[in-house]
Amino acid sequence: MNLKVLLLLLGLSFLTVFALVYVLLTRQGSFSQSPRCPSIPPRIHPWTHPSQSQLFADLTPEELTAVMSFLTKHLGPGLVDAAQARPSDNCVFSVELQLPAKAAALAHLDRGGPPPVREALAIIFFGGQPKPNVSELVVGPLPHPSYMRDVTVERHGGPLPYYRRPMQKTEFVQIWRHLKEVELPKAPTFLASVLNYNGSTLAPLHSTASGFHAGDRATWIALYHNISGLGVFLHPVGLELLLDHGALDPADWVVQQVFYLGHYYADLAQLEWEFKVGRLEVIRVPLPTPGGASSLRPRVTPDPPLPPLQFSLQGPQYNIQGNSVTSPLWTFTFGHGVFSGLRIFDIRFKGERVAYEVSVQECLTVYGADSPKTMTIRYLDSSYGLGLNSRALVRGVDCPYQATMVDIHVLVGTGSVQLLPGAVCVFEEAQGLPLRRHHNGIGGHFYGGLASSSLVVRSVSSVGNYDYIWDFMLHPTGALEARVHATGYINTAFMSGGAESLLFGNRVGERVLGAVHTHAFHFKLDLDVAGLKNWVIAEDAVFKPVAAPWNPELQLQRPQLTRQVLSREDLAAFPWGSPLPRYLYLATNQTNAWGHQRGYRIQIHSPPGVHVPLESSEERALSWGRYQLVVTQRKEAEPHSSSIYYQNDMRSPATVFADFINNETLLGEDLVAWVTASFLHIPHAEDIPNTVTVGNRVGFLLRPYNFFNEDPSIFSPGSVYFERDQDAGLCSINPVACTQQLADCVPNLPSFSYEGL
Amino acid sequence: MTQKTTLVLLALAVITIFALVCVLLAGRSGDGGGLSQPLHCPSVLPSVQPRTHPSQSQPFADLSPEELTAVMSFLTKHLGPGLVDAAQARPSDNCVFSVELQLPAKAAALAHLDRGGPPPVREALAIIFFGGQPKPNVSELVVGPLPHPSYMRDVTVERHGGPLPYYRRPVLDREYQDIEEMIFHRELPQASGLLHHCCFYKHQGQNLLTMTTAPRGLQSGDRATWFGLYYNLSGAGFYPHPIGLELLIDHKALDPALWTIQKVFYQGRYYESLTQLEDQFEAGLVNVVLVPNNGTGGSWSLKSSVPPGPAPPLQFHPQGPRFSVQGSQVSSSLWAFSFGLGAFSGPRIFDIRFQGERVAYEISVQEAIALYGGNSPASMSTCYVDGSFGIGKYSTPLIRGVDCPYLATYVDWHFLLESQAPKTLRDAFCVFEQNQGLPLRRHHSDFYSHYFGGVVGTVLVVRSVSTLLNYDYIWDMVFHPNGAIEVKFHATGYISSAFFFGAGEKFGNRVGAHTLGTVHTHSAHFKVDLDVAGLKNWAWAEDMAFVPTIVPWQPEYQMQRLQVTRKLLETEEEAAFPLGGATPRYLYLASNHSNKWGHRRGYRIQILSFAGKPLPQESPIEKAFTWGRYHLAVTQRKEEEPSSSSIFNQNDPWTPTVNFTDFISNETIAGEDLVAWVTAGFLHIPHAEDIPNTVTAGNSVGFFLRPYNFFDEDPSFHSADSIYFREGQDATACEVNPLACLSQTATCAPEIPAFSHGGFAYRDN
Repeated sequence: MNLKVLLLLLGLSFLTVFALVYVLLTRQGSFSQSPRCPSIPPRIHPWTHPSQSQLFADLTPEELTAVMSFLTKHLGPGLVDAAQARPSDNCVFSVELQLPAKAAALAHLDRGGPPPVREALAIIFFGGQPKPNVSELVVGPLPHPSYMRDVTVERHGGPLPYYRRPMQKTEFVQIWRHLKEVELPKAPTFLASVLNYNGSTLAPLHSTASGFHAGDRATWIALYHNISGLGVFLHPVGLELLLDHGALDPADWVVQQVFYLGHYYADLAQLEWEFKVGRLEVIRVPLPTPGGASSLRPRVTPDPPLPPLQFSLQGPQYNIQGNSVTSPLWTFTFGHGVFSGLRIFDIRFKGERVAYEVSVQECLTVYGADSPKTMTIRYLDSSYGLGLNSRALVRGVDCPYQATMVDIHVLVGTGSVQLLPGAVCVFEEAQGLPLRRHHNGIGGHFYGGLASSSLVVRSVSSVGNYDYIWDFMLHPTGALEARVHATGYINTAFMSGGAESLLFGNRVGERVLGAVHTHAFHFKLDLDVAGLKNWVIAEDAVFKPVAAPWNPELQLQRPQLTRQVLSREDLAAFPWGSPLPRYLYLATNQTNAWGHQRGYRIQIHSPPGVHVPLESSEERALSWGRYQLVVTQRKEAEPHSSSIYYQNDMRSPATVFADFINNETLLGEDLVAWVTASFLHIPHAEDIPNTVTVGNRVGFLLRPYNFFNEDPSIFSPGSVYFERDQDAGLCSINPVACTQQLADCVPNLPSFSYEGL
Repeated sequence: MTQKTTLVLLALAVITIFALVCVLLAGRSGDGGGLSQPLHCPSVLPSVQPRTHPSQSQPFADLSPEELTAVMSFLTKHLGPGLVDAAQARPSDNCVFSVELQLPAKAAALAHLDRGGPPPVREALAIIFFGGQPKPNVSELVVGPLPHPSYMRDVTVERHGGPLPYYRRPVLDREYQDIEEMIFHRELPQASGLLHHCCFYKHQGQNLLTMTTAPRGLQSGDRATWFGLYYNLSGAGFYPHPIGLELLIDHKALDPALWTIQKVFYQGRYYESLTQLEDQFEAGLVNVVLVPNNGTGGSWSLKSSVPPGPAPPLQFHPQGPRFSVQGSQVSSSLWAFSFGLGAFSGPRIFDIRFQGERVAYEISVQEAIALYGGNSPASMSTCYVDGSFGIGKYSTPLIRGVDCPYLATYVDWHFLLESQAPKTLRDAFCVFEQNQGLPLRRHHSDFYSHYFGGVVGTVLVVRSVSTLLNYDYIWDMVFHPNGAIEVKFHATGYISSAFFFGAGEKFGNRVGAHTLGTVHTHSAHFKVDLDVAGLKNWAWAEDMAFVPTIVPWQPEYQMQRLQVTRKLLETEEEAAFPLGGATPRYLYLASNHSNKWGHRRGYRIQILSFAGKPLPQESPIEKAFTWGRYHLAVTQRKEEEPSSSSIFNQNDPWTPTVNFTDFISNETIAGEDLVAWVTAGFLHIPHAEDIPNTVTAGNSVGFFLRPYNFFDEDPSFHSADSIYFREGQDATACEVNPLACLSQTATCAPEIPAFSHGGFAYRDN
C-alpha cells in the first residue's frame, strides 16, 4: 500500500480519534454541569448490636426457623406442614412475635434493666387430637428456644374449640377442590351451557361462616368467572352454594343449599335436572374479555409526559435500622402483626416517648344484598391476616419512587418462612403545603413559613378484593397521624332481579350489583403522655348569654369552654350518636410553662358510624364498633379489641371489647384510647374497575395539646423567614433560595425492581 | 516514517477509534445519559400565556388593569369632580371603594359557551361611598361595556331593596389611619404615666399597635369598635402580645374630630376614659401587671433558631408540565376551568369541565367567619366576617417552595380597591400538579391470578392564601384524575389573643405569661353551582339501614340485613340540613339522564368538617351569617341570590343586607338549576403549640364533589398513568412497565428558576 495513502488514513484516524475524544470529553463536561444528585434512598441497615428497639421487631427468619424447629421437635412426629394439612391433622398455623409485657419493656427501655426475653407466639391447630382444638403456645427464649408454654386457657378462659380456627389457604384450596371434583360435576350441562364453564373458567369467593350455632362451619360460596389477569370480583355468574365444611374429613363435606337467580335448590343435581327439563330460568353470562372493564391494564399506550416525580435533593432525613426508624425529630419501631397488621411502638418525639403502641386492631366489612353469599358477609380481616396479606409495594405507585422498601418475613399457613419483599415502605413526603406561614403587613413586613413534610410508614393489605393502605405519618409538630385508604375491587353480587336488587346498591355492569357495605377500622392508641399516669380531659365550647360588661343593654352570646375530667371508663366511652367532645385529650399531671396539663389530643377523622344493630346476633363480637372512642385502663390481659377466633364463631365470643369498659377509674392510670373510623360505601359505576382512594379515607390525628411550651416545629431546619428589606433570593438568608443550586442535578433513581408476583 | 511504523500507528489509531466508539455506545445505552438526551428536563414552568385573541373569550376572568383603568376613568368623569381617592377619603367624601368584575348572568354565559352566542357583555361592579351626599349612602353601580364603558347603572335598589345606609360600609384604610391618629396622638398621651409604667411607652406609642375587632356596636347604625393594643415586636407577629388595654372608639361621625372614646378596658377593669384610668393609676388604684415587651424570646418569631438542614424532597416534571395556564384559564388533558378571585368573596372557579363536559358552573368561597369568646371586651365581642374585609383583597403573594411547590406556576392578580389606579398582587395564585405519593387506585391479586394494577395518584391544584389580620387561610381547589373536585381550606397564621387575667382559662388556654389564646370557631361557606349533565338537576339522599329479615334458606332464623335507603328531596326546606342534625351519608345532585347501567348521572357532595356549635339564633348578630346554621342546603339557583353573604353584613349584622335563610323557601328543587351551599369549619381552642403560629396539620376542612354514577366506569380507566403487570411478565422491563423506564427517562436535571417572590403587602406598589 502506498505510504501516502497510509499517511492519509493515519491522519483521518487521528482526526476521528480527536473528534471522538472531544465528544466524550464534552459529554463528560456536561455531566459535570448536571451531576447526579448526591442523594440515594437510604438502605436498611442491619442490626449492628442488640439495641433496645429490637424489642418490638418482628421475628427474623432465623428466629422463625428456630421456633419452627423447636415446635417440630417437641410437638411430635404427627405434625404436618400447614400447607399440606387436612383438617384432621396437627399443624403449626402461625408463628409471630409475642409482644413483651409493657412493664418489662419499660424497665429495659427507661431504667436500663435487662431486655425482656424475646418470645414467639405459635398457634397450633390440633386437628388430630381426640378433642380437636387450637392452642396458643409461647415459645422462648429466642433465638435459641428452650421452653414452650401453653397460654390458651390463661388467655381464652378455656381450650379454643377447633371450629373457631381461622380459615387458612389450605382449607380454601380443599374447598375449591371439593366443589370442583365433587359438586360441580353434578351439573355439567348447566355449567357448560349457561356459565361457560370449561373446568377453569370459574372461581369461588366465599362469605363468612354463616351457621347459626356455635360449631357450625358452613359457608356460602359464590362462583365468579375467572380469567387470568382480570379482577375476578366483578364477574358473578349467579350461582352460590352453601357448603358445610365442618367435618374433619373433606370427604364428608356437603353442599346444603344451592342458590340460583333468587331460588334455592337442594343441590346442583336438582338444578341440573330442572335445567334439563326446561324448568329453570337461566341468564347466560358470557366470559369476560381480557380487555374488559375488570382489567387494570392501561387503555392507552403510555406516552409522555410522565407524572411529576418527587426526588430527594440531599438525601432523606431518616434512617432505618432493622425495624427502627430514626429522623431528627422522631424515633419509632414498626412491626407487622401477621393478623393485626401495621403497628408502631415506642414512638418518641425529640427523645420523649409520646406513645408506647399505636396499632391497627381490626378491619370489618358488613354487606347487604339479595343473594345469600353477599348478604351474610361480615369479614373480620384480622382473621385472614392484615399483615399476612401485605404484598410487595410498587415504587412509584404505592409509594414515592425513592421510598425505602422493607422486607417482611412471616410464618403462617406453611411450615417455612415466607418473604414478603418490600411489603413496608418508609419515605419522607413533601406535601407542597406550608406547615405554617404568615405574611405580615401590619406593624412590619415579613414573611415566615415552613414547608410541610412528614415521615410516613406504609403497608397495604390486599385481603381478598379490597386493598387497604395503612399509613402512620409523623409530622414535625409532634403530631402523629394514622389513616387508611380503601382501594381495590368491590365485592359484587349477580344482579338477577330488577329494582329490588337496587335496594342493595347500584348496578355497575351488565349483570353486576355493587353491593352496599360498611368499612370499619379499629385502632389501639397506647399513649404515654409524659409518663404512664394519664388523665382524660374533654373540652368543648358552649354559648352562654352574657350582658356586655361595658354596656349591660348589650346581650352577647359568648362561647366559653367546658372542661371535664372523665374519671371512669363508662364516662369515656362514646357510642355513635352521642356527641363526642370536640377536644378530647389524654394528659399528665405535669404542666407546661403556662400551667396547663401537658396533653395529646385525639382528633378523629371519620363520618358517623355504621355499626350493626345491637340486637344482631353477631354484634357482641364487633362491639368495638359501637363506639367512636373509648378510653380504658391499659391491661396486659386486654391486648386486642378483636380476635382472629371471632370470624368463625361470631355468635358466642368469650370476652369481647365491650367487657373492657367496666367503669374502672381513669384517674392517673396507664390509659389506652380505642378509636373507630368507618364509612359507608354504596358502590357506583366509578368503582369500576376498582375503587379510588380519593374521598375513601378515614383516620385520626394525635396532636400535642399544651404538651410543649410552643410549637416544636419552630426548631425545624428549613424555616423560611425574611423581611422586606432582605434579599430573599440569597441562599444565606432563605434556604429555599438554595433550591436552584441544589437541584441542578439528575435525580438519583434506583432502577425499578419488583419481586412481588 | 516507514510504512511499518505507519501501519502500526494506523492499527493503533483504528483500535483507539474502536475503543472510543465502544465507550461512547456503552455510555449511551448504559446509564441513559447519552448524547441524545437533554441534560435539563423540558421547561417546567409553563409561563402564563396572555389571552391570545379575543375569540378566546374568558367571561369569568377578573378585570385586567386596562379594564380597571377604563372603569375608573369613566367613573371619575361621570361622578363629578367631588370624587376623592379612596386612599385619602374622609367619611364625608365621595369615593370609589372598589371596582371588580360583575359576573355575567349564567344564561348569557351559557348561551355563549354552549350555543355559540356572542360573549356576554363584560361589566364591572363599582361600589361607591357617597359620604358627601345629603343622605350619605353606599351605591352599587354596574359599568359597561368593557373595555370601553359607555353606561353605568345603579343597581343598589334592585339588589338591596333600597339605598344602602352609609353606616354599613366597610372601614376604609384611611378610616383606620384616622382612628390610629386619634388613639396615638390624641388619646394615649392622656394615660402616658400608666403607659410609661406598664408598657415602655414612648412618644405617641411607637412601640404599640392596634388591632380592630368587629362587629362595631349594639344595633343598626352603630359604628363603635373595640381596639386592642399590642406590642409591635420587630419581625414577629404582634398578635400574641396584648398589653391589656382595649379602647371602645365611636367613629360613627362623619367628621373624625367628633370621634370619641366611649370606654376603656385595662387589665380586667373598665374606665370611662383614659383620663380616668390615668387618674386612678396616679392615685394608686390600678393594679398594673407589667408586660415585658420582648415576648419570651425566640419562640414568638418565625425566624429559624436552627441552621437550615438538608432540603426536603422536590417534585419536578421529568417530561415537562401536563397543564397550561392561559389568562385565567387552566387546562390539562382532563380538566379545564377558569379561576378568579372575588375582591371580597375570595377564590372562585367557573365552567369546570372534566373531559370536556361541564360538571359545575361555579364553585366559590362565599364567606369566612371567626367568632371569639373571652373575658376582655374586644375578644368577647369579636366575630370577624372576613368577606367584608376582603378575602381576595387581603390575599398575599405565594412564596415559592413554602406556600406552593417550588416549581408551581404563579399567577398575578389585578385589582382596584381603595385607590384610583389598578394595582397588582404578584404571585396571588399558584397552579401545580402534585404527585400524591399514594395510588389513585390499585390492586394486588394473589389468588386465582397474579397481577398488580394501579394508577399513579396525581392532582392538579389551584391555590391562593388570604391573610386576614392574624390568620392565613389557604384555599385549595384540587382536581383529581377520577373526576372528583376537592375544595378545602387550611388555617394557619397567628392566633388572636387577649391579655390573660381572672377567669381567662374559661375562654381558652394561656399561651404565654400574659397571653390568653382565645377560643373561637372558624367556618367558611361555599357556593357549589353544580350542573350535572345539564342544568336540570335533582337532589337525592341515600343512606343505610339494617332491616330484620327472615333468612331465606333457614326461615326459622332472622338476620339484620344492610340495605340502601333512597329519597328524592323535593323542596328547599327538605334539602336544608342543620348543623348538628343528621345529614344523609350520601347526598348527590343528579340529572335525569342515566349512565349505561340505568342510574341517574350524579355528583356526590361529601363534606369533611368538624364545625363548632352554631351561634344561637337568639344572638342579635346571628342573622348576619345564617348560612352557619346549615351543614348543607340545596336551593334553586337564582341570579338574584348570587351570594350567601354581603360585605355590608359585618358592620350592620343586626339588619343583614343578605340573610341566607331567605334563600330557603319551600320552592321545588326537582328538575331545576340547583346550587348546593356547603359550610365547613372547626372549633379552635388555642394551645401552646399555636405559638408562634398555627399549623395546617389537622386544621383543614372542606368537601369533595365526586362522580356518582356520572360515568359508566371510573374515568381514570383510560389514564396513561396506569401501571399493570402480571405474573410471568418482567416488571423491570420498560415496555411492560413505564416506571421501569424512569431511571432512564428522568435523567435530566430539573429546570429550576431562581427564587423570587411577590413582595409585600399591596399597599406598597
